[in-house]
Amino acid sequence: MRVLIANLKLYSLRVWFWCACAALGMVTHAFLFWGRLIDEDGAALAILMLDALVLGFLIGTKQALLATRPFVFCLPGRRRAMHRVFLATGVIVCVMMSWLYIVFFEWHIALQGALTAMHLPALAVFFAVHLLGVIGGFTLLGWGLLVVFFLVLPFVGYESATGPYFTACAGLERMLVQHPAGVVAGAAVAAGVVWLGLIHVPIVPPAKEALEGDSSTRTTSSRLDRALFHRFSRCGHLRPWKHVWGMLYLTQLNANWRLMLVALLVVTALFCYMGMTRAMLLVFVPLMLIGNDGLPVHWQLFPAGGRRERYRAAMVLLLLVWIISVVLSAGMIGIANLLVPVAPSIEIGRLALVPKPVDVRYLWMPLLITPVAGLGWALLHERRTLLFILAMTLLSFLGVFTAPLWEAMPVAVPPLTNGYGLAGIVPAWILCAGALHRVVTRRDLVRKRSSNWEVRR
Amino acid sequence: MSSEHPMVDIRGLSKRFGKVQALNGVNLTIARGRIIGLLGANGAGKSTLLRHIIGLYLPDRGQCTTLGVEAGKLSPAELARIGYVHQEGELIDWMTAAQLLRYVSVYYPTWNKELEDRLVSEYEISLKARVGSLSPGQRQRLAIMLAVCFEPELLILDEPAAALDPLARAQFLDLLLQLIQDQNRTIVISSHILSDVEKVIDHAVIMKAGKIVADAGFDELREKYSRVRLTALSGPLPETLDFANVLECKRNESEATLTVADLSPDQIEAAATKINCQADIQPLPLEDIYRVVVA
Repeated sequence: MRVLIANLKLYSLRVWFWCACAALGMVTHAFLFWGRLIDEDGAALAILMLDALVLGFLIGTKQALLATRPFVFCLPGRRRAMHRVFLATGVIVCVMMSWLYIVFFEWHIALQGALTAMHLPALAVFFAVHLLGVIGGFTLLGWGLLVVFFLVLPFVGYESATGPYFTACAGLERMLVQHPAGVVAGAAVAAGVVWLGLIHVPIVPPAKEALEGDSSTRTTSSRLDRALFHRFSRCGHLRPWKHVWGMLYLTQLNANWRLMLVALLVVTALFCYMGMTRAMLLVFVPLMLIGNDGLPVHWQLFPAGGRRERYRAAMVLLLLVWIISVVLSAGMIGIANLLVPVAPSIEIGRLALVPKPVDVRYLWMPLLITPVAGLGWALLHERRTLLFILAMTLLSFLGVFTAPLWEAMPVAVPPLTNGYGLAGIVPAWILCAGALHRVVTRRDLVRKRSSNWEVRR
Repeated sequence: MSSEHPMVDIRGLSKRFGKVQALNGVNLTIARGRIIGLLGANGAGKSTLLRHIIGLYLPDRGQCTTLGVEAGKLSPAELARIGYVHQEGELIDWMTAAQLLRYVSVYYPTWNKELEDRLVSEYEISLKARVGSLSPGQRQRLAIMLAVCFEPELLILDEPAAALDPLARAQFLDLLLQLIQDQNRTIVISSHILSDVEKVIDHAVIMKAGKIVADAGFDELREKYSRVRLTALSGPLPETLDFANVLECKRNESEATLTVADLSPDQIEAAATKINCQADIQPLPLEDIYRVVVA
């Protein structure tokens, strides 16, 4: 039992874990209360199943990181201890999920009276799904993909609201009521298969290590690279812009622009079909640009650049992100509006994709979000990458989950794009510049690598 | 230590990280042309002190002046005179070694290409290899190259040899001995490998729990502490060995080994003669000096 408690303490001591749970809780709350999903059959089951999957993923990832530490290989009974952790956390998570499910179900008039009978089948279903998350986190995915998962979750959830996933969950819900024994048996078999699979999972380094090991994928043969290096090397040694050019050469914006452009082209093609997620997407463009590489305040090396130079370089990068975000967003909005007259309507099951024009005022969102993201980075990122990403994600949720309210308005545009949003741009930049200046001039400029992911309470 | 124009001047420096008092009222002056060995156990505050010197950390209390400028306000002009190898050995992994050398060299007008070529050859650095794929030892060598090839006036080495094999450590020490030839160059080296450090340093600063417990010339320390091997000339050793300032004593019936402080050879000889013993006086190696001071 002591080993189990020691393992469970690993979760209680990690701020990121509770932040992730808080984010998950907020998303669930938003879906269930603010969205219109509560009226849909199977919606609550669908959302809570996703939650169980994500929590399983978080728990599995942590155990995988622990399991790959060399000293753990010498611990007796490590595999059995891990399975106990998965079982204990699984029971806690699934009891919570099934309780939430039953509570929400009370509003579902049509299915009242079946609550007691459904509790056990629901628990079994959640457990099977949760185990899938555990095995996913334990074997396949790493932190980088976890972050992507968190960013993608609202898109998937919202756009799937009327899609096949929810239809399938509605079917599953009917089966829970009509054939509880069958569902329990099916879930038990599924869980057993996954559990047996888990026992035989080889303990391999998770993707985080693999990603770190593969960090040398950037090449420096592009024309842009050469041009930037040329500019950097020609700049006089003590000229103020020397450091800025050096930073621009190093930044990953430079490395990933082709990949980013391809991704954006694909997204742009679908942009006119998107509902409120397009607002979300425009918010994420600057967030992704900043979050990808951070601001060049904590250098890996110690080249001849003082604090003032670091501040200048960080502000230049932020301005650059601002410009790129606006240009990309303008391109996406422009192309989407051009496509609207010619793009066909698409129907997939209950999901109807109808091209709609995009209000030009959406462009104001990246204008405001970039300095806000810079401010968030200045306040959080210097120590805690994950906290920064989570804070930005929560911020975006707050903006996007008021979507039903916007749609009720005569002009369906997000709140950020009204006059108040526009008026906030200048103060946001002032706050961002001030906070960043404070970080660069008054804080330590050494960041422990491990603190990105392992934040002690 | 004192000098009219110190390279580094630290006064009352204190730094706290949460509940840990990393530095506690540290005073230190580093004169030009000195080779300082900064010694201490893990967590003694060595790296924190070095990071204050180059301005990466800012003090909670006190001040740190480097090259005549407040360390937190060092400009590119001053920073171009400081070389720094840090213990984490973080470099830019996606670059090849050649690209990294080229990138860093652009920052420094004084970059010595001949020295770079020589070190690449001596250290057997594969220029085409990506930095991320280099072994820890090769990364460390590359980091050392980046810090020395622009011939800095102040070279700060934080555990530079930790990842090096014995042969590479010997090469590194040779390099340090060459760098020392420049009278204007100041080197601060923090290391746990004291047997290596003692070959090059002329001054030792020993830290314990965020404080400096010894700050003296290496020769001065070697004169201060001695190991005395006493052999009884006839019969057993007396029960009481009448020596002042004995720090350690190991003995049997006819022989004793003492570690003593602040005793001149004449005083030791006189005391040995008094108890009818022969005294063999040896200087303490740095490792033992460190142990005695910290204890």
